[in-house]
Amino acid sequence: MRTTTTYLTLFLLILSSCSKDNEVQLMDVVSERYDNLYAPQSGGVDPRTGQFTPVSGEFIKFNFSLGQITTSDTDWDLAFRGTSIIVNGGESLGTIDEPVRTGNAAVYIATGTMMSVTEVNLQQLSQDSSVGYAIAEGGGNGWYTYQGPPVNLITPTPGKILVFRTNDGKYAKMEILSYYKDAPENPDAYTSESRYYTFNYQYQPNEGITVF
Amino acid sequence: MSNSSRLSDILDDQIGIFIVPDFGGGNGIQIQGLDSEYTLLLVDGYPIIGRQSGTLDLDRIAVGNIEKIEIIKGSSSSLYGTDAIGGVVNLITAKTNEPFSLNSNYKFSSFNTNDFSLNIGAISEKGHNINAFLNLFNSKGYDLIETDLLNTIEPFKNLTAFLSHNFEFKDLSFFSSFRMFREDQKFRLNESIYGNNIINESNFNTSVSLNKFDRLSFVLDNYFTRYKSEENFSSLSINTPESFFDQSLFKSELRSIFEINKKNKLIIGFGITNESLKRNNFYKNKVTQNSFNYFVQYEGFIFENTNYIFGARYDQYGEYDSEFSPRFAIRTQLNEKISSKISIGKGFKTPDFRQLYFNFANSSSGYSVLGFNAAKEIINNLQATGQISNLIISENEFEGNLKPETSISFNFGIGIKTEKNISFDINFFRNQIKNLIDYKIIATKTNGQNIFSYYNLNKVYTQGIELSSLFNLNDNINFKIGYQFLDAKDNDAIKRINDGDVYARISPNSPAFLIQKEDYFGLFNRSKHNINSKITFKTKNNLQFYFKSKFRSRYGLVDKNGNDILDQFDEFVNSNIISDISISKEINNYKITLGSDNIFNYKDPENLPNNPGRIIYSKITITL
Repeated sequence: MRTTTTYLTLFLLILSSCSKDNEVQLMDVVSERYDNLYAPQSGGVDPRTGQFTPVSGEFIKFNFSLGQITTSDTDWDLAFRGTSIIVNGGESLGTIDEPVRTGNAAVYIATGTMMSVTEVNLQQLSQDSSVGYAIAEGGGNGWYTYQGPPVNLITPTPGKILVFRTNDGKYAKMEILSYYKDAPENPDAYTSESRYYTFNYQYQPNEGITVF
Repeated sequence: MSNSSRLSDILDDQIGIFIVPDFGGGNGIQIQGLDSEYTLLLVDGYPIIGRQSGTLDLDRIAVGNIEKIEIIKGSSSSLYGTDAIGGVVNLITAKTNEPFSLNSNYKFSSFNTNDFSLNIGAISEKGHNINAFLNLFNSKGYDLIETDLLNTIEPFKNLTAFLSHNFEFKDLSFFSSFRMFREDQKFRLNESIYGNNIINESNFNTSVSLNKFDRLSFVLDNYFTRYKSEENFSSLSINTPESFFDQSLFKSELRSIFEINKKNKLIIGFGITNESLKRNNFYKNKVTQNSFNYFVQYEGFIFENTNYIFGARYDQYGEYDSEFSPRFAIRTQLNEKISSKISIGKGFKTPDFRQLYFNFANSSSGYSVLGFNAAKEIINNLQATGQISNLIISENEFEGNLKPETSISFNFGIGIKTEKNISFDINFFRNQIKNLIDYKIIATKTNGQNIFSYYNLNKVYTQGIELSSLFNLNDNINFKIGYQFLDAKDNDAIKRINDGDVYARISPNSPAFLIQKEDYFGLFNRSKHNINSKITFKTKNNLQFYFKSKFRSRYGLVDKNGNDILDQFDEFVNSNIISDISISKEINNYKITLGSDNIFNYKDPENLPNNPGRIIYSKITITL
């Protein structure tokens, strides 16, 4: 019995010293680039007839800690459909096929570069709601600039950094680079395939750390 | 001399005037860095209308009967009212001096283009001076991008007819003229929607002068013009409506001219204008507007060698602020060779009907554009029915009226005439424009579509130096050159850059970075350097050579990296030179010309659809 206690104490000592070491050694910030996240949608305005049908189609979900897209109903941070970007937090706008928000993710758009946005401004974080997404829709409002006819291009607005609180309460930032397949040097609205997101992101895997 | 019958080419031939392709298609005049929207175009002093997308297509105007072109640079609304911000171009039609005159020419050029003109003038024994002009112009058009279904320029044919009458009777002199234009052009939207686009334009004016009194005379001008354009589908299309545009303008003006003495003159007058427009994509079936104007101009001398003009005009509108536009110009003949000119003036341009009443939905990209006045009511209705998800502007931004765009322009020039055969002019200019109208997003609909409307948004300036020089080496060799340095920028963009709010990206594969002040290029479609030159040379046996070149330094058309301004990292149209050449031979009443426009075949199909490349032509002219 004594022996057991001694062993247990020893074991606990090793364990606690181990966990102390863990607190000191933070995990590295993950810096990655994700290419060609395809986020199709159905409906919208038919270019041929001009008829409008409600937008529908599955949102493509992304999980920062996995660094991958996911089909999970709960473990996702943000999701894409056409030019719309939603977060796993807040309320649904109520469009067709829109997923239920199960987490506490939030987002805001900072002005700057991936280098210059180094800290999360917690006050600015907001969630989706029944009147609109946290990342406003429409060219010039959110993450992209829409260049009207004859160019008709969707260009990620330079200087817009999307800052997230993830589903599991950590932080990430993202710079969208292109909306066209393979991020072509000179995209053409008529020939380049659209709804392919290419973006850089940094994920802070350590709980409660708001700097990158 | 350019052997062309279109106004765009004739203006392009003027030293110091630069013709650039407009966004809406067609060619426009850019005076001191200001777009053709801000230039007033007159024929015998009467305005040409039909700016369907804001700009006026200069190819519409046939100039075979134009004797003289007067160009005023800089704001001069003090005399001409709205639109005279960048300047005024006045085309003066020819009047015959002989009992009977006839001039006719036919030109055949590339793309199966036929151009026929006939001018007839006659003076009757009683002094009626009658001039008639007819022009027939047709072309097969051309296609620069053959992979798509559409032609760059679809086949078209047009006709211009003009008739004028001058007559003096006792103390009265009469001038009246009638002009009509009709164009029929094929058009194609896509494989299943095609048809014809028909333009009908007519202008009619009468002018009566009374010179009964010693130093006092009166002039009464009346003018009516109508421009109508309509699409007629020959294909079946259920969902695409046929577009139409029907604008008319009536103007009446009374002027009194009092010659105080030989050197001092006072002009006082007033006028009314009535304008109306019916078009598709409009909030109202028909919109009309009446305006009144009052003007005064005084011309006098300060010293023996210094004369000045002071003018002012008040334009009164119902829909927007009334405008007061003064202008002052002073000219001094310093000595026999050198003179100087200074002018400062105000210009304005009223919002056009489109900016007030547009109600347009783009079916392919899913957005709509509303005129300012239309937006007030339409947004209210959409809100009431719950169709607005996000109102971006505040309610009070709907209050009041859209303001006219206004400018203040300053010019300082020096003219030098050395010998009788060399002259040199230099002019410094600056135009500061405010309340520039542009569109911005006002709301998002629940279906995700954006709604745009027009607002007084920007402040821009254009400034620069104009140089022009003329050398007549002898009676047979003549050389002209013009140069313009231009700095044209958006004041607000400069401020945003200074505040560190503007970022750029070089390529979709690289991260964004903050841009510096020197990265800002300026306004779209503006070149820093423009040069045009021409040389004419005549041999003893009546052979005439002509060579013209124009140079445009690089300019940008598209904000490629999406930061709303044109910066070094966007895409540019390279510097280019376009040269025209011709050779003519006169034999008795005939003149035969062979020539080539754009002889070095400069092309840029993506950016310059108006430029078909090299054109070769031959022309025959008969003069009796």
